[in-house]
Amino acid sequence: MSKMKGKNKDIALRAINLTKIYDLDGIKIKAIDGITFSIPKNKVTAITGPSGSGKSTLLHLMGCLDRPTSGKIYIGNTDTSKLDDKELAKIRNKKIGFVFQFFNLHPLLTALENIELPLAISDVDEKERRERALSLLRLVGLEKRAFHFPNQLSGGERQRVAIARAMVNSPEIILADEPTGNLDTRTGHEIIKLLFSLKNKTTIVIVTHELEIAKHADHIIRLKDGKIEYFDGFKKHAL
Amino acid sequence: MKFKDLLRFGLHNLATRGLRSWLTIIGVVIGVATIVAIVSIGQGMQQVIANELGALGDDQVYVVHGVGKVGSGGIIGGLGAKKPGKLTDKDLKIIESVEGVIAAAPDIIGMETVNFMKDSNTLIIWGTNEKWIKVREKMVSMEVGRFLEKDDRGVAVLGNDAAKKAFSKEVTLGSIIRIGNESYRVIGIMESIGGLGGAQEDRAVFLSLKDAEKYSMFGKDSYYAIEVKVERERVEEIAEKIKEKLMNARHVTEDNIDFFVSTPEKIMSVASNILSTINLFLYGIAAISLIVGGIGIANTMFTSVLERTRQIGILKALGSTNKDIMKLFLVESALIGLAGGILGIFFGFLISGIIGQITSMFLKTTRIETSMVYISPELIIFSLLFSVAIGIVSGISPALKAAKLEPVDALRYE
Repeated sequence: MSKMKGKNKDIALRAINLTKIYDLDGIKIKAIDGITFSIPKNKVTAITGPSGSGKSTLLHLMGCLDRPTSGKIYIGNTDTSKLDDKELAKIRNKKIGFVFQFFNLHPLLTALENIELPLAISDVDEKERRERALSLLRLVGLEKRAFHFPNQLSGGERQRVAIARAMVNSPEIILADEPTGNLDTRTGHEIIKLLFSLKNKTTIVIVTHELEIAKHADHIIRLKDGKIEYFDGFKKHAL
Repeated sequence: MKFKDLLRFGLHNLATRGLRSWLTIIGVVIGVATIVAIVSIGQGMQQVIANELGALGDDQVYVVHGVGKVGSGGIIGGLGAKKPGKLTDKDLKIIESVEGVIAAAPDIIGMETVNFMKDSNTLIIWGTNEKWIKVREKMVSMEVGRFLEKDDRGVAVLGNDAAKKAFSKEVTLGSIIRIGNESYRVIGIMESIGGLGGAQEDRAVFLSLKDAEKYSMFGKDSYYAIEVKVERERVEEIAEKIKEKLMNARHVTEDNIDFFVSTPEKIMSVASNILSTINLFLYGIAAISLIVGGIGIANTMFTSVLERTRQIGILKALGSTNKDIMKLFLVESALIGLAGGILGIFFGFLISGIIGQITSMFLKTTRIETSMVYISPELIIFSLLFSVAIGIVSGISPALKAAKLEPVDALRYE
């Protein structure tokens, strides 16, 4: 038991026998098919696989944006399958940071306000919000763009704002869904560098179909038809 | 999420949808403005009527004869009596004998062409006795000269407009006016009365009963009405006594009564009933326009939920609860209601103010100090709360729809 505890200390997220079945007009589609894995803390884990392999579905399940049909997900020691909608919202707010392919910034808020948003949701007072958001804007090198709206920023800048927003609540894990998918190669490279640099602060999971990104990750989960094809030590084979 | 943040978000979103927000708000404005205008005019009218009746005298009783046709005797005579009847000197004496009666003055009413110098005009001929000025002491005073006295013949007292506006030249004390072949010397001119009840007196030529009877619209042997001044503390009681005595003397019952006894209270209640019926009808129209306004809010909010599905997804991904999303949309719809309410109140008072001004001009309310429009704090508070409530109620269904969206579905929404 104590051995387990010791092991869990280094684990940010565990999925046990995870299954997700979609019902499309009576046709059942198994997007995730009974997979079990762990995401180690303060490492970069890449989830790869061909289109339709279940990468995004898995990320949504890990991020508590969707509920599994069966199986369990532990974030730290919390069994998320037992939580109601309100508790799941709290987990998303406090323990998880999201970075999306299409940035998903709030169009009516400035860069600074976008970063403050998770703090506003959790009722952090305005002064503290501003301080934390500004320090993250500095971290991602956008302090001069604080009062620009998303449509006034380039793709790379928007993704930096999204990364800062994902970091603002000091989450236990950052889930990035194709974070370079909408960026040119050079900008994509910078974003990946930025994400990788955060691993000493938090755990990073990147869903990507780009082998170049996966190659630099500490761990790899390769999916095919909702099942894990390769995991971790088989990195070279996975690529 | 703190209320301040919800408010900021709501205002942001409304501002972004500029034109659509305004169109929705206008829907509410129309409903609220209609209600505010109706209520403020209604309340103002009631106050004016109360003031007018107060000015006429809260110690007056009117006895009006039953008329043959409804209309020729005005509302009071037409509504009160069951069949035609005459009021004579005998009735006047009976009324004067009632305990508590201070003075009684009969009225003869006619319309005749009055000549002054080379000019002529159709004026009201008002026959009465010397007691009329006492009965009407609260309302009437002399500008120059004196009122009619007992046994006066061949003399006239003029209302202010009759003297100053009816003819190209002003009629002054001592002037001679002619009605048909008869000449009358002007012995007095009254102060202007104005107001709802005063217009007739201002345009009247007052003659003695003997002189006026040949001009009577209701026959030589009948008074139009008898105005009675009674002890103020017992108006209703004395009015009942007058009615009872007259009924006995005339051998009539409630079923075939041929006269009508009116008190300020009765006139007030008749006027209030008429006003209430009109108001009820107008409230119905206003309620319909408010419902339409509410549907407008719901429609806008539903469209907004669809348009902002992805934003809802973002908020949920960042940790917003269903309750947060619900509140966000409710705050927005409440803000639409509030904005509609504030503007509705403003336009409602503006409309009622304009209508009040026009009515005042029409009625020449020189004596009325009360505005035709009454702005009550209760009406403002009620209208604001009501419009916010309409906003919230209309927003509930769209807000629920937004709150129930699954985060993953909302994020995928294109």
